Amino acid sequence: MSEYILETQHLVMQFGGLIATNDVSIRCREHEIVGLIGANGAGKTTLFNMISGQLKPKSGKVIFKGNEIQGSSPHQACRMGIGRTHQIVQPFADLTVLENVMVGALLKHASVAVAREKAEAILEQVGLTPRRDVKGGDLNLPELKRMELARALATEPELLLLDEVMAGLNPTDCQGVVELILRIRDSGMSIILIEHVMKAVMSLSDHLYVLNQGCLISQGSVEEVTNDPAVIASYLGEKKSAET
Amino acid sequence: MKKLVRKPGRAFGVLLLAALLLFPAVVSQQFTINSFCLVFLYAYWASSWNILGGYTGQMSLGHACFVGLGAYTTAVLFSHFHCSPWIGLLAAGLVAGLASLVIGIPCFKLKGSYFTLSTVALCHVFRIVFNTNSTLFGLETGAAQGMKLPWRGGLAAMQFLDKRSYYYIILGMLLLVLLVSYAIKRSKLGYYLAAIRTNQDAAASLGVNVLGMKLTAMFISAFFTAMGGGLYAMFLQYIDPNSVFAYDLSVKIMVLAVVGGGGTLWGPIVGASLLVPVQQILNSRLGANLAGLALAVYGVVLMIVIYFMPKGFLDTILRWLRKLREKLGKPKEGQVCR
Ligand SMILES: Nc1ncnc2c1ncn2[C@@H]1O[C@H](COP(=O)(O)OP(=O)(O)OP(=O)(O)O)[C@@H](O)[C@H]1O
Ligand SMILES: [Mg+2]
Repeated sequence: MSEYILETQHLVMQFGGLIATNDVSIRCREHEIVGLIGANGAGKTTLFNMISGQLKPKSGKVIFKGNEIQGSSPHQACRMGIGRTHQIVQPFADLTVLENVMVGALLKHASVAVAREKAEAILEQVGLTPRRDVKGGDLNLPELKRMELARALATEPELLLLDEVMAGLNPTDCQGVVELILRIRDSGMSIILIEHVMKAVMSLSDHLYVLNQGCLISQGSVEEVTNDPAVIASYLGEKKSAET
Repeated sequence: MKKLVRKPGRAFGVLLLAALLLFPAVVSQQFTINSFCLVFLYAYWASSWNILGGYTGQMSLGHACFVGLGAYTTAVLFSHFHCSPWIGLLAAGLVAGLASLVIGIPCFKLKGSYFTLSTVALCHVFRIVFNTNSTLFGLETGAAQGMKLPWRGGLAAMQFLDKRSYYYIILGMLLLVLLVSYAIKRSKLGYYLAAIRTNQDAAASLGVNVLGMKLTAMFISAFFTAMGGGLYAMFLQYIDPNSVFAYDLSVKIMVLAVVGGGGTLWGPIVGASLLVPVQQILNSRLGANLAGLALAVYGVVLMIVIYFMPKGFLDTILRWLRKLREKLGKPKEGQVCR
């Protein structure tokens, strides 16, 4: 078995005439936080969808813990140990926050009572305890994002895919999530995160990949990537000018 | 009284059950007993439907096909193989359960109203097959003429001259399906079904085997529905394709559950207890005057009910109870059992 918990090899995904990801190969080591950045429509979410089984790649491989898993269904991917959050939040609107998280926890704990305890602990961890009895449909966006994270954590994954969990959060909340992600990693998980909040990605990532129009244009340490002229031209530059 | 108001669910349930158990001792009029049997049976079917339609959100409009399969399995085993209906009912459940898996695998590829339409179509297929063939698998089923069961009498044959015996059997079955529903609701399966009902893609990414869970729910639902079908055959001593594989019956089962309160434990019971008698009264009062009038009036009653209580009877009743409790003082305490 290789030192990488996840490896994608030459992933290609096409929607009609649009090539959403073109020959994308990324790797994630155990206990590593890998950042994935790129402009809107670059194909980041599509890449996640192929890893977690929502989409079957047109060609290429997804290798998780040494096994090829491309084309397996979402629930199989989750059972193998890949947890994910959705960029467009997917709450169980008429279940309470606690029940939402319990659905995740039931994967590893068939007993409802145990799953409830487990879910309560995770709500505490992400700071949603005061909202535990509120219906999923009644949460605001930052809370929904945290509930997504809590549900994914509840399945006790080995690899966690986080799709813009900080979008729409204020800087203080962002800092809270950054710390939470570091704690999750320290508990032994590997994490790949898509994020537009640069400060957060830069401070979290051990390794960074940059996608642009479906192609990987750069990768390396945060320093290497931020100094890469191609990245500055296509993404960071644009980002900078947008921020100022 | 205070206790009853504080814990309406449990106290009321116990009282009601006691009353229902004693009822036949007091009233022996066959007509009344007969009416109660039908209310129980419809409540039983609506509860069975609820496991798939309510808990899982898969709106089947073809449950009559399980009623029919159950009725015919029990009747054929009884008539041709001298098999006791007590065993026949189990066989009925298994036959329909297996059929539901065969049906479910293609139908669950469809979502929402397409799934519903496919169940309607399937039930029609069954009705036509049973209507046009006088033997199936080499066994006499009488095509459109149906089957009249031979009289053997007694407990083993589940044939009684006094309808009160059926009263207790059907009531027992109703309690059984309620118990099973309650257990499902509180189990891992129940949480998974609720998750699928609300957002099946989210459920899948949390490791829920959506198709597997839907098939499980469908199997359980079909199993119990078909046992009710077998019971129906013994109760009437006669079955024919147009009455058991009837689209009307599918609709009726669904309406009782949904109007009562789909997805809740007591909703289907409440729905059947209120609506089946309305229909019976309308039929006996208006049925003789003008064909279809009773049905038309029933339709209007349904429309009114759905307009004023869009979330079902149960929800409205619980809200009234809550108001009543507040009036009687001591709010907050105690939870309403759903
Ligand atoms: N199911 C789909 N059908 C058709 N086109 C799709 C589908 N999913 C994504 N696309 C297209 O593929 C491209 C990549 O989309 P993707 O969602 O992966 O981008 P992204 O990098 O996640 O962008 P963002 O930062 O906005 O979330 C986009 O042009 C998008 O419109
Ligand atoms: Mg995206």
